[in-house]
Amino acid sequence: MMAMAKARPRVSGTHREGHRSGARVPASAPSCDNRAALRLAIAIGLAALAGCSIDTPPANFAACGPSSFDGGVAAPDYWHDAKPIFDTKCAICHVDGGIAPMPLLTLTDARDWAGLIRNAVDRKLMPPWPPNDCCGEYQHDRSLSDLERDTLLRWIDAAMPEGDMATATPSMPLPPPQLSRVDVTLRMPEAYTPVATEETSDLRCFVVEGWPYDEEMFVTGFDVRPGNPAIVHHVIVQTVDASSVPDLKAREHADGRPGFDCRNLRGELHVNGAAGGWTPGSVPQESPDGTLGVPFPAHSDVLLQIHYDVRAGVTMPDQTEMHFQVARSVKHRLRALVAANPLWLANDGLDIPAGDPDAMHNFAYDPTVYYSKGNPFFLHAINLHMHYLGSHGRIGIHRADGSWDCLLDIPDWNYHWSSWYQLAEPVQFNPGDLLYVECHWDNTASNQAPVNGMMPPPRDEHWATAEEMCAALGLFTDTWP
Amino acid sequence: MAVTRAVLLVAVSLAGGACTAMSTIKTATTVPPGQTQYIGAIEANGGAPLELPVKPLLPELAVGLRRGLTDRLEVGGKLTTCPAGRRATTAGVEGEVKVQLRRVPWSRIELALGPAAGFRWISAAGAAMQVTYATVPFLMGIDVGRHQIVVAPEAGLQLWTSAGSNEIWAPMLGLSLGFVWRIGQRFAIVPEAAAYRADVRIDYSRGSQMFHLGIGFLY
Repeated sequence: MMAMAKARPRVSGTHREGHRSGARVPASAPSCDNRAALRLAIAIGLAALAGCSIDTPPANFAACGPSSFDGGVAAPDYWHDAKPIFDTKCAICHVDGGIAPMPLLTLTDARDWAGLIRNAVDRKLMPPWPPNDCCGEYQHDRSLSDLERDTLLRWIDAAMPEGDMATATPSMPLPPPQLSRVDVTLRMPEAYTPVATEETSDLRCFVVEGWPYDEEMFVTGFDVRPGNPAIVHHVIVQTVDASSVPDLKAREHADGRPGFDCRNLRGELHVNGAAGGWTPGSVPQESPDGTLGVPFPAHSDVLLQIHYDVRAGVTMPDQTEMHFQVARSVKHRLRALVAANPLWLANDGLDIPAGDPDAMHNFAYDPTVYYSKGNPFFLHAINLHMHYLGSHGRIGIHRADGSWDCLLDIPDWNYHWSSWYQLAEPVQFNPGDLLYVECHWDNTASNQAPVNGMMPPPRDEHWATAEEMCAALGLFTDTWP
Repeated sequence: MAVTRAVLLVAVSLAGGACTAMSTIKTATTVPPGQTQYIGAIEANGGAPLELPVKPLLPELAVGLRRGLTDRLEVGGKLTTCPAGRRATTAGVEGEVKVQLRRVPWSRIELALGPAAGFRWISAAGAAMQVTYATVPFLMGIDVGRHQIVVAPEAGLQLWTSAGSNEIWAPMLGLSLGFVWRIGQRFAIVPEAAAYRADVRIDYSRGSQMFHLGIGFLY
């Protein structure tokens, strides 16, 4: 049965546009579908001289429809109107000890920070929810609706009246939700205190032994409990073959500290795959009834990668913990896919020239050829991967019939809020459809990642762990529901 | 790192080996003037970054001809294809010249230069890449009775292009080893193996390796 994300606009029509970076490959030329390109090839090299273009989405790819917002609350007060919004949309991060710099749990908190709140809400900077709401619908959407945003702005502009507690909408700051059942708990073997040296971030890997199963299991629920939420910025849990563990452990403490530096590794770490991930604002992931599961291979252990954000100079220790809910079998096995032009990885294939305010690269291919032997599959979650210089990007499906489905549109990229987006409903991907990814970068002086508080001058960037990347990542199942 | 590896695994499975056989099935002997030699070959090609354990081989078919112009000069051309459907379909064309440098009747050694240039188009899963290349093999033929061993060090340059990507220039060096098994006056079977190293660096990689196995039929 085909399931589509609710209210996801499907649009027809196509533009043709190549990359805009470096201007070394012509930007306009014949299309490259199989039949046309085969004819071109037989025509002996003409396509080589001209290059080929990629069909790009039409202008209304992620456009919003008419707004249904019709005026909002006339005289909002704290207890009835504002507090429920703070509780549900802000308190995940704005709690004591959270990664946000101040709690927003009380009227006093809100009044103390009213100016900042107003500015952030008005400019849609907070709550951080990068996707364009008009592209698709996602689970755990943190964004404010037009009504919520209007309510908060009106409340602040009206001098933040308290109202009557007796009329309070029943909602309280929720503690971070729990998995309904925790089968395995793994914890960093010892606390780690990150340091800021020549980089602004500390990317650290830790081998975490103790996975209790020898046979293949499926992770049906996953949660991360950062030991120090103020500095833990992302967590990736990867599985490694137990035979690799001695080599990995030999790397630990090489610099006298727990774990080892994960930056700029040169391919030595042969991980099996990811079992879970976490970013600030993430909530525990749990598959209803254990129908979906990520394989955790037999005879494997966990390699934990943690990005510590130490820009603020915080160097407190962290000992992060992971919770797993597992099953021996699941109805649908979740697998990962990736979309990126292989040539981007090589030499100057992904060239982002210094000073270019809008370098762009795009790519499209049919992942069913590689991932599902030419059969349909069902996409459950999507992730756009760029680094610091990214400015905006989008992922879509160019259907075989010429129409487009928008999967993710990030109009204002922020590396620190790059995360997975779970589609409200799985999307069927059919053979012949193309998964399209488009990345834009701003490599001007004003968009450089600070190093030790200083903005370095722009330099030419390419595909590298320490430079830039562009990839669409997805989680899919072969069958659904 | 994880993203790079994931993309690589897809890339080599789709098309990594589809365009590496260049200037293959060659002998050190030029075709006599005015005569035409016909070529058919079944090949398997593969390639991947040095550090990647997966190095798949993809099949390829080749047909071509060579014609002698003078005692020491021939020209030729070859068409290649890998008909693997949407997984990887390639089509290529190559033009070549061969100049014999040394042929001493009483010697068992024959030397020739065989510069070639070509274009390879690759379609994999709805995406397309192109490779334009030029290469110069130095062909050393060593007679073994009426047969010949052909050792050919080779230097070349590849230009990779694809929509949405900048072009990649990649110098390459290679070595091939073949055996010209002559059967009768005109027919020969030529098994051949070759390995190349190309300056295609990927994030953590020191370069790329390419392999070629083939068997050619000359008439």
